[in-house]
Amino acid sequence: MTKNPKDDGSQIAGFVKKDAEAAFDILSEKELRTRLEKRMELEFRNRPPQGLFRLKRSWAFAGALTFILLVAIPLFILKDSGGEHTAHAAIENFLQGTPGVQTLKEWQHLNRMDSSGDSDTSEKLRRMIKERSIYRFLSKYSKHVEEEKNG
Amino acid sequence: MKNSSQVMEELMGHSNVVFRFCLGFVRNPWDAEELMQDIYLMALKNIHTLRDMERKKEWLFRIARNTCLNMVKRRKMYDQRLREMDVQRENPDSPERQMIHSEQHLRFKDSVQNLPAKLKDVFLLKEYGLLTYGEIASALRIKEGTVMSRLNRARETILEHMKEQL
Repeated sequence: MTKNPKDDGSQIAGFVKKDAEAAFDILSEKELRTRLEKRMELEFRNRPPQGLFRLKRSWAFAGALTFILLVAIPLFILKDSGGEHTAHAAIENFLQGTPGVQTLKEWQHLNRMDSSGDSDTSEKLRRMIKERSIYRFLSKYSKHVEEEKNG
Repeated sequence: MKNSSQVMEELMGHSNVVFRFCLGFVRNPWDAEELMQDIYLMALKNIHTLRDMERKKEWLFRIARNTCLNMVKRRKMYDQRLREMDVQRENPDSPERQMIHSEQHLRFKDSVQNLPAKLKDVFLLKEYGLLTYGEIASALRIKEGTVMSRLNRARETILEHMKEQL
């Protein structure tokens, strides 16, 4: 073994050459390449294509967004404020601010009792009717509903 | 702009030198082939990290080096068992197989395996990977002068080690 770097280099290069040649004799370059290609192909096939994967994700996102905008939010708004738009709720609201009868149920109850001939309750009801507040409200409300229906 | 499969196709053009490089890390061509395939799979997984298309060969060899080092760490404890498996797998009749079992060849392989990590990197990239000084410098992010001096030291160390084993 010599100390000359050039000789060292060529000697080492000789060993490496022999090593590589022996390896390529056992496994040919063609064989190596074919097997590598097969394995890569298999890997590519098992891997979700990036473009399609992104597209799928974007579709899922768009779907969720559409659902939220068109379904979930309107439903939430309707649920939150829906009661105020019904005639029942409107009368309830109105009655809460009137003397004598506080709820529609109570008014209906009194009305039923009136038709059954109970004098005390019919007197009470009559007094309330005299005030014409419910009738005024109902006529206003029905007008409003009709206007809305006719656009 | 090339897509990842085109880049991979170009990288696969270097498969022979990558195989040679792996051969420097292991004792037999079968392990080298397995390593080479692992390197390409690793490259495929990390293809999005390749920024400089002009230096894709260096990028590939950086992956190759890291994959080989990881393999060496993983397999160190099983080395003896692997040697036994190698003997069982090989047919000692063929001259190529006789060559990879020749005493001198085994001494040489042992000497390469025993090189300090820094010298081994440069030595394997140059002698087995056939990279230029510039490419090695870029792959290892060191100066070309450092590559040359490490290579000389690696060669000397190998020959000294082989001499000691005689």
